[in-house]
Amino acid sequence: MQATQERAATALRLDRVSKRFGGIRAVDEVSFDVQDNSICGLIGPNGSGKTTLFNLVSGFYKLDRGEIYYGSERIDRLRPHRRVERGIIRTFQITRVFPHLSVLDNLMIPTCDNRLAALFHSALGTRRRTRGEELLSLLGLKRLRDEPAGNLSFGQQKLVELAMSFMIETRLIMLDEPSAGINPTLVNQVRDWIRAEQKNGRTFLIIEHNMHVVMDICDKIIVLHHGKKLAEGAPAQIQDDPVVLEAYLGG
Amino acid sequence: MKATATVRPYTGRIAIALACLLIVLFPLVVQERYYLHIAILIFIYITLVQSWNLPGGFAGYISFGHVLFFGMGGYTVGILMNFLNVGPTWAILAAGGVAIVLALLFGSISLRLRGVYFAIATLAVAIIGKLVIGNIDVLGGAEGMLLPLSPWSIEFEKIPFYYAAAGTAAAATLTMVLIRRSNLGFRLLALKDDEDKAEASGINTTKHKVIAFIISAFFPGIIGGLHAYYIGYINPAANFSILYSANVLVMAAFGGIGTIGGPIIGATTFVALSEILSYSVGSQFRLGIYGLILVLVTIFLPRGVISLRETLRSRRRAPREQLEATTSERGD
Repeated sequence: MQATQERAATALRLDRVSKRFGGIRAVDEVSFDVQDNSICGLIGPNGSGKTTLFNLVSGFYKLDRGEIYYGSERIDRLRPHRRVERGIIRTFQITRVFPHLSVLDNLMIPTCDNRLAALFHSALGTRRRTRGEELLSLLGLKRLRDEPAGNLSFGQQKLVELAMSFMIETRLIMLDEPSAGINPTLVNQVRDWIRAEQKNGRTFLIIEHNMHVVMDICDKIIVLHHGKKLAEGAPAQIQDDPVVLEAYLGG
Repeated sequence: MKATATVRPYTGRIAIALACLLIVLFPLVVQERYYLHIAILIFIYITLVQSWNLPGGFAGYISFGHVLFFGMGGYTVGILMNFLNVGPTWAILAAGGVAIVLALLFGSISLRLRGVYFAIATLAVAIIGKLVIGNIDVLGGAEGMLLPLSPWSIEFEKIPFYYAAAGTAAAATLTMVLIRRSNLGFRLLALKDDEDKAEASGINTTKHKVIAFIISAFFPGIIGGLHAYYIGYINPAANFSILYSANVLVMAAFGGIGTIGGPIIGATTFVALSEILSYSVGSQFRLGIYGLILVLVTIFLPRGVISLRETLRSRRRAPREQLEATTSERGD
């Protein structure tokens, strides 16, 4: 793994990151790297700390110990929107769109520009609008573009949320269970889409329970268990790792 | 923002032009002081409701404290005119400036709170403002103080105030129209729906909220100053009356929270209604009738009177092509 991507830069680096809630060590001394332009899977049983880790990287939780680097910059003290400005965006496990805004308007929301002057610019930028409409066509959601996003089905909202993360110049996209709750055809579509965006230069960190998807698209997989990193490696390696198998299937 | 906004743009524009013309010509035609006074009150409330609507209706931050800016505006004018001999125009502009500073200080602290906690904090600050002002002896304590009289004759006096109030209300309304179309307004709507998701989408939510709060304090400061000069007398009980905050809320809910037309409808209806009711049925029943109207509107037009047409249309319309998704798949 390291050998093949020796020259690739590191997009994200976690260094002994820890977070506890009362007596529970939700994330315990976890360290790993995500290579630039790769797709990295994060798997583990329920309660193993995957979503907590997402919250730490995106800035929704403050970490207790450890450091998080994005490229060469330490980001673990930045507020969430600052991390988006740097190029990291996330989706949520329980899908979150803006229910009262139209589908197209939802796509117009993500931003990297919080300057005072930008607040008073028109919200109806045509270039972004075109981009938004393109994405909606790609997803087959074009006819719903003026519908309040809250009226869409769970799966459709999932796609809208995914599309939102592609609307700005983000380099690292963190997806929390992108294939959960959507039908198998759509799962393939999402998978292809993630691959296409990887080719466009994006990096992905993905929490996913669908093993077919994980094994198929990930360059590297990190396994969490009880907040600790249990294993890390290429899909084939992880698949045959007895420790991983026991954590998932045994006991 | 939505497709419905583009329906028959000309009728809308003509209506607005006619309304403006009517407002400009009104004092030239109707010269009775009483009607001019009512019109001034309407403009004052339009300004207050439009302003309240920015954090309240767009961003979902309900403030009970906007009377603070109104009251402080009045006292700014009082202090500047009485003690420093500042002219009314500059004093009123300064009132807007004071409101901005207060909003910056108070907003950057209180806007960390959400929902009901924010509402209570704003209420508390408004009450504290009233108590502080009421305990400063130089400012007349609880008795307040008189302001210099305007230089205009009694017959003519209302007209400049009428135009000044109308101008302020128009400026507040226009500002809200522009904000509504801007990134700020748009992001505030998103923030109202889901603040964490807005933050996760890259929006500096604190900055947006504070800016919105500052803008929403400016106009009440101005109109509070104008009102003080108009009435010629300020005191803590009247100028910081929590009734202003309550009325503003009622008017917004009646007209339509988060819309541009709602505040205008709400302010106009309630000021007019209050006048009509107080000499027809007597003021003791007035509040009861207020309550009844508000209850009915909340039940039948939860999005305010402004949504009347839309609500009627959607009731009449045959169940149109459903999103198959909404009924069958949505499982949470």
